Amino acid sequence: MTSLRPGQPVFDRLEVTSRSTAVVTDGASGARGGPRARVLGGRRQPGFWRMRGEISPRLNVVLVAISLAAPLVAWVLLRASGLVNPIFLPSVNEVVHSAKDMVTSGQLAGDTWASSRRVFIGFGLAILIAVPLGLAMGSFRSINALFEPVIGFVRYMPATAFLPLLLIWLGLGEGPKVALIVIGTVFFNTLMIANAVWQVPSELIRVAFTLGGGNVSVFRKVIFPYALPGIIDAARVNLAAAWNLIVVAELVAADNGLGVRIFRAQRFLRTEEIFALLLVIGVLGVTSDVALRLVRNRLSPWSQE
Amino acid sequence: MTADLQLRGLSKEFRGKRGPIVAFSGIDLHVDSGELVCIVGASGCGKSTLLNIVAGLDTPTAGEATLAGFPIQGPGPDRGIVFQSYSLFPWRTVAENVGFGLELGGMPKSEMRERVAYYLRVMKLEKWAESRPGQLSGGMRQRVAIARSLAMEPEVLLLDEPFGALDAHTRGLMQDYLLSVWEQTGTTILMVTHDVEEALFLSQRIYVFSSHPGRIRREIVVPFGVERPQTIRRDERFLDLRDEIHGLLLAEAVDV
Ligand SMILES: Nc1ncnc2c1ncn2[C@@H]1O[C@H](COP(=O)(O)OP(=O)(O)OP(=O)(O)O)[C@@H](O)[C@H]1O
Ligand SMILES: [Mg+2]
Repeated sequence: MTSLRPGQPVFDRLEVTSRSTAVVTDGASGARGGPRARVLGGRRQPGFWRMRGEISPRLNVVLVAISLAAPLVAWVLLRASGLVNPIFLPSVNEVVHSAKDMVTSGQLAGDTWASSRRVFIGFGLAILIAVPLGLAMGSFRSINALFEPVIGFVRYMPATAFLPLLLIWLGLGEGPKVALIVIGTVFFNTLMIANAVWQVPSELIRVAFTLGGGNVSVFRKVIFPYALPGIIDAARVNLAAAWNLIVVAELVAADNGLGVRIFRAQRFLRTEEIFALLLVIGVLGVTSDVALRLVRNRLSPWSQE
Repeated sequence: MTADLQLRGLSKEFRGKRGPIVAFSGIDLHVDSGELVCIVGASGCGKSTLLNIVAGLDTPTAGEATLAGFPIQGPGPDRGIVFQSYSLFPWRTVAENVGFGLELGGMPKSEMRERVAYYLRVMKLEKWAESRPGQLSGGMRQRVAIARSLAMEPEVLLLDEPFGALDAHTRGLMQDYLLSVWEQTGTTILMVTHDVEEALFLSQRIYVFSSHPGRIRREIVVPFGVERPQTIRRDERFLDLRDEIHGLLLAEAVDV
């Protein structure tokens, strides 16, 4: 049986009391009547506000559900309240119907294909330019000094402002739409990829050279694999810009595509169709993002550790 | 065994924002074949720069570095380097990391497998051959980095504060590893450390550097044989030398 000595550290005493409550009756300890055990540090933040802390899987599910459901609920309530003119704000039902109609008529598939194709080709070209250029800029100070100033400058020019020029230069076909996406994404892609390559630790590159590497093998076996997840992440960010630009390009000049459909719907005040088309673009964007993320995790599983 | 590393009148200046920065100047030193030599010196006296020049990753402003009489012009597999930050390829397994240089050199698969297995054994890493660096402790990672350099069977192994990031206990174990590897392979080793006792425990000679600009302040011959039981740490000569080197470094710190 442990007996308490006065002057014993507080938490020792607490430990003993928790094991055998009988000790607490010892008047000298003062454990019950005295001030509460001292606590060190400030208030412990709950999971929600703990900076960089883990959150429970349950809280996570709840928060994701709120994130998706809240806008939907707000929409339904706003519409039901009658505060907004129904022409401005269609009901969920109308939007679903409109989407169904577009699906059954085959129109949606055609437009989605037309827009996706432009995004795919334009963004693909931009990636084809940006990856080698970004890799070179991130590996050689010389190449960086050659390209960084001009890219840094052009990048601030709004891509959409090039559209009139592109229409003059390339006519009304697919050319200007694809070119707009290239112009609008190639510079950001290049700079972000170059930045991902600068993150490759110099010492890793130096070690590779002492192990018998040359420029080509170090590129292939060190720089590219190290930068790959960063390159894919850059593409994920910039793909959103490509979807932005294709709609603008199609609003101005095209006979098919999701942007055209939005423009036409506006002329006939068919807001439910605009809503449906916006949702389609959102879903396409999220799908491509998730796909790229899967590719990244597949190709570079080490980067998640 | 032809390694005989010679540095003659070696100097290095960097271009700084406000004029040139002299990392070190007029360094004369040599490392004989099979020797283990340490460099100790205050932070910023150019130790890493010096190792990089020997590795061929940087060029001196003046002077010459030669290995077995041949001038060093660029990096090559005859000089391996290990940095304080583990610098492993995170997407490769331990075995693939160790085999990296052999793979670049186009060594046949079966020979490579044998060579890698041998150095994994030397570094007591067999159990981790298929793990990735992300799953290893700091000490294990540094053993992989050393094994990766050793697998090239370099004439000189350059170590830049290789155990600086490790806790004292692990560092002690790593020192024993290094000594046993050095005995087994006979590799010539030039090592930078800021740990004076480490330098005394491991090396046969020590160059004490002064800083701003870096120069050799003193060359110390360590009076112990190849066998290094832990008890030499309590040897009177060990303690005297330790105090002497600390004194040199301290005088340095007061100058700054
Ligand atoms: N690339 C560089 N450009 C300009 N100055 C440099 C460069 N590399 C090193 N220096 C300078 O050269 C000097 C020596 O640097 P170095 O890294 O070789 O020192 P060190 O002895 O290894 O120091 P530490 O013990 O902190 O590792 C320092 O003053 C540093 O600022
Ligand atoms: Mg250093």
